[in-house]
Amino acid sequence: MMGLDRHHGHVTGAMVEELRRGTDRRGPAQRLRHTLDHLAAACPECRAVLQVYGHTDREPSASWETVLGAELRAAGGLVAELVHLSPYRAQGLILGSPRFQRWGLAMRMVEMADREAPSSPREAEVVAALAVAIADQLDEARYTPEIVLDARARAEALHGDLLRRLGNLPAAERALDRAGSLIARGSGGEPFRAEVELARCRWLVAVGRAGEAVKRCRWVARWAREPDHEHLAWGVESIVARAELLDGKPDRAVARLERLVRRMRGRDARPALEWKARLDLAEARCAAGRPRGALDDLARLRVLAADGLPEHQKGRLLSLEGRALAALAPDGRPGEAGEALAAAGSALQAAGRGLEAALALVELVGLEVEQGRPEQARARVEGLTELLASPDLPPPALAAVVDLQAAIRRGEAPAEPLRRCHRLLSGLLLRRF
Amino acid sequence: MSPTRQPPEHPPAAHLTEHLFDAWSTGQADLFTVLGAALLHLEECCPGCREGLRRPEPVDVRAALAEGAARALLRAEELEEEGRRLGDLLAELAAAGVDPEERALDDERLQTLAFADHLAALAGSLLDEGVPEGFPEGARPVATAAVAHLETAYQVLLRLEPAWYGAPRLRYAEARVFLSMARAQVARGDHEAATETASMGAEAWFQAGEPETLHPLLLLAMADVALAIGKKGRALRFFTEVASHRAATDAHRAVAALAAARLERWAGEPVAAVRRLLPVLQAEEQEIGQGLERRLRAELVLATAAAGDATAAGKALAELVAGLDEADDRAGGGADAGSEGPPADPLEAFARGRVFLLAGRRLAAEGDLLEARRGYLARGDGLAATAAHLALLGLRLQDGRPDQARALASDLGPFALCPGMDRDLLAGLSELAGALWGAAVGEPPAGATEALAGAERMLIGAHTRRGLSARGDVPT
Repeated sequence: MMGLDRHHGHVTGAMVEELRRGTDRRGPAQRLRHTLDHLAAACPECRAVLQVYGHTDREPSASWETVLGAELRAAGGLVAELVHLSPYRAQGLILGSPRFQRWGLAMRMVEMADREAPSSPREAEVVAALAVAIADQLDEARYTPEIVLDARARAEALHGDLLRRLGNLPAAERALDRAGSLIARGSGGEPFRAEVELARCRWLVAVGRAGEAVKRCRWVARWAREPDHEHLAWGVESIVARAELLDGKPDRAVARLERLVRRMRGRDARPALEWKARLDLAEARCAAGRPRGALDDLARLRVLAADGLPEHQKGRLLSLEGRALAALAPDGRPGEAGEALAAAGSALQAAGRGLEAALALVELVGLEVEQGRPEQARARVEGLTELLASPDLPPPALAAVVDLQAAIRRGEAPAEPLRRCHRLLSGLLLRRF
Repeated sequence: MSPTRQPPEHPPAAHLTEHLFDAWSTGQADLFTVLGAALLHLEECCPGCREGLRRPEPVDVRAALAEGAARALLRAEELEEEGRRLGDLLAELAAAGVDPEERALDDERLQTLAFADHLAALAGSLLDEGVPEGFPEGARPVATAAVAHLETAYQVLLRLEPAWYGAPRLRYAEARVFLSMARAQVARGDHEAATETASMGAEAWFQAGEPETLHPLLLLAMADVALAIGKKGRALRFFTEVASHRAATDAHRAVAALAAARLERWAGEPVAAVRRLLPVLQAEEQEIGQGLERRLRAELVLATAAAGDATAAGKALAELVAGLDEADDRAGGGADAGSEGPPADPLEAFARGRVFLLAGRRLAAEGDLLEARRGYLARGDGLAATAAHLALLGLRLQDGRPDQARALASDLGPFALCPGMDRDLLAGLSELAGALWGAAVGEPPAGATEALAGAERMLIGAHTRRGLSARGDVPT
């Protein structure tokens, strides 16, 4: 029996009757598809909705560029809808609703996660996971396989990078493996490949394979000399400098970061990168025993951040300042250094940066021991108990802190336990960049 | 000849909306609802369709599609066949060394309700059973494993066609996944997520038409969420309701009785706890796993010991040990059974330590408690190790050995390295150590008893924050 009108695709009473009896050989799903397609032809308003959901083959009248532009514009509203949902609800919506399976939305989420990463890595990781879910649902027939593979790779790489920052190295590795496999099948565009590769290199540094990271960085460096891709070259320098610091070669790191900062100076495009490079330089100068230079860097960083700094960045600067002041020749400025380290500890703790706070406070304890104030140092070590509740401290850091407490309580000479704890905490922190 | 029927009068049919498609995508509306909306709108906006819907005679689109939807739900045979096919497919994948869960989203043969149900059942048995014997990292990884099954199940469910299975059936499956997920999330310490997931589970449960068989699962999830937010009385009521619910399985009843008994013992009502445990342990032909039975027996030892009944505690301990020996024999470890060597199971060591303490055999108790502490730390179960740690500190302080207590109190490094160790509890243990070290050498530290009691309260708090329905060893 006929269902849709043979010539014009109109629906008929016979078709409805077949659906009622369950005898329609084409099945309700196919029947719906045809009905919606006919509706798309009959009603322009419904067509707009059906196109969004991919329920009609009728091509949109607008050009491809216009459609992508519209996607990017519409993404703002979709992002707002998603971020207010729990991850499960959001994932359900992404999987179930073609409205959210859009390249423009995936890219917006990647940008958002990237932007939030320095200040709120936990929130950024949630956004990046949603970007991965969206990219996984992109229709290759609509966007071309290369565009979809590139988008998926970028989302996976960013997600992996954020998982690394949060200390979940096995999950980060899995995400970066997926990113590597996707990008190999993608458009072959070198900027995308380089982004994925840099994320992999940062992971290698985090797992203590800095030498391997440096070797892989060379590939990115070879063609990142293009003026348009200089941010990638900066990423390479930053990774190599970090590897040098971990390798106990802070002078080399200083020289590299000085060159990097000179190259970045005056480029307004990526102020956050310049800020980060200067901070790394200050840290490297402290490690290299050049506290005066580090203090100059810190002064410059405060000028650059004229608009104000979030609490954790303030704490980070104070922590470096304390370290630099304590190291000033001939005997340092222990009073000021102590004040800076104590303020750093409070600021970092308040900002949820337990690992950095613990390091600042352990350095403060060292300072107090050197100044011959053992009672104060002992009380300070007991005060570290507060930090044990911080989710930011990985288990080895927790163990280092409680072992330090135990040693001090037992009355051991503090120098060696302090050195052990400091070495472990600073090593963990150096890998988290 | 019957008089010509006029088309039924409908309210003006609106354009199709994004809301309608979202509802369809998420299973809140079925395919027939969308089809009905499209047909009614076509009847209004397309003259050809308006005419077509009167051929061969006018139809009531709404009524016809409602009947069609009802028919679509009657697919019991097809679903049975689906289950059989899944069994064959899983066997085939196992033979090829393929993990079906890794393939679930790529292999359409696995995107069935039967597979989603299979995964939910796997997770459910993990959660009801708690920590399998010898699991190396305590309760948290079990909950994580359950979450992994459930996440895959949810992803599979999202890909299923509501028109084929019927929306209520899918909502039922979703509810089951969400409610188990909530229990696992509480066990992992994700309270906020668990609260949201449980409410989604309850919502799906109501939408599915409140199927009776899901009721015990809903109660267990709600009990865990109640515990996580500190509502112990409410949790106890939920657990009690599960124990007497006619749709509960033996495992559900045992899990609920165990959790309720723990709450009662901690509330200083060990006799009530014993009364709750005995009927479950004495019931015959129960289908509960070995791990669950072992925990029920251990809880009986702790409850009878807390009630001060040394005879009953000794008897319960003997039954626990006999059960463990039997399990050991079955596992091929019978050669060591009954030997004088240290017990392999820290729960048995802890329970024996408690009984020896009650009997005044303090040296033997200390040996067992040290063994339990060591055993749990080796397994990475920081919460269970804390129970033995605190019991040891109490014993040494009572025996006038403050220096030995101090030395033990500061040995917290292994606790810090336990996966998922409760951070607040670790801070509490460090504070306790600081308090013990505050006194001069050889002197009993002032306020030690209070500090110890405070740490024990923190331990119970850490346990309840992770729920009790999906937990492994909870000695305390």
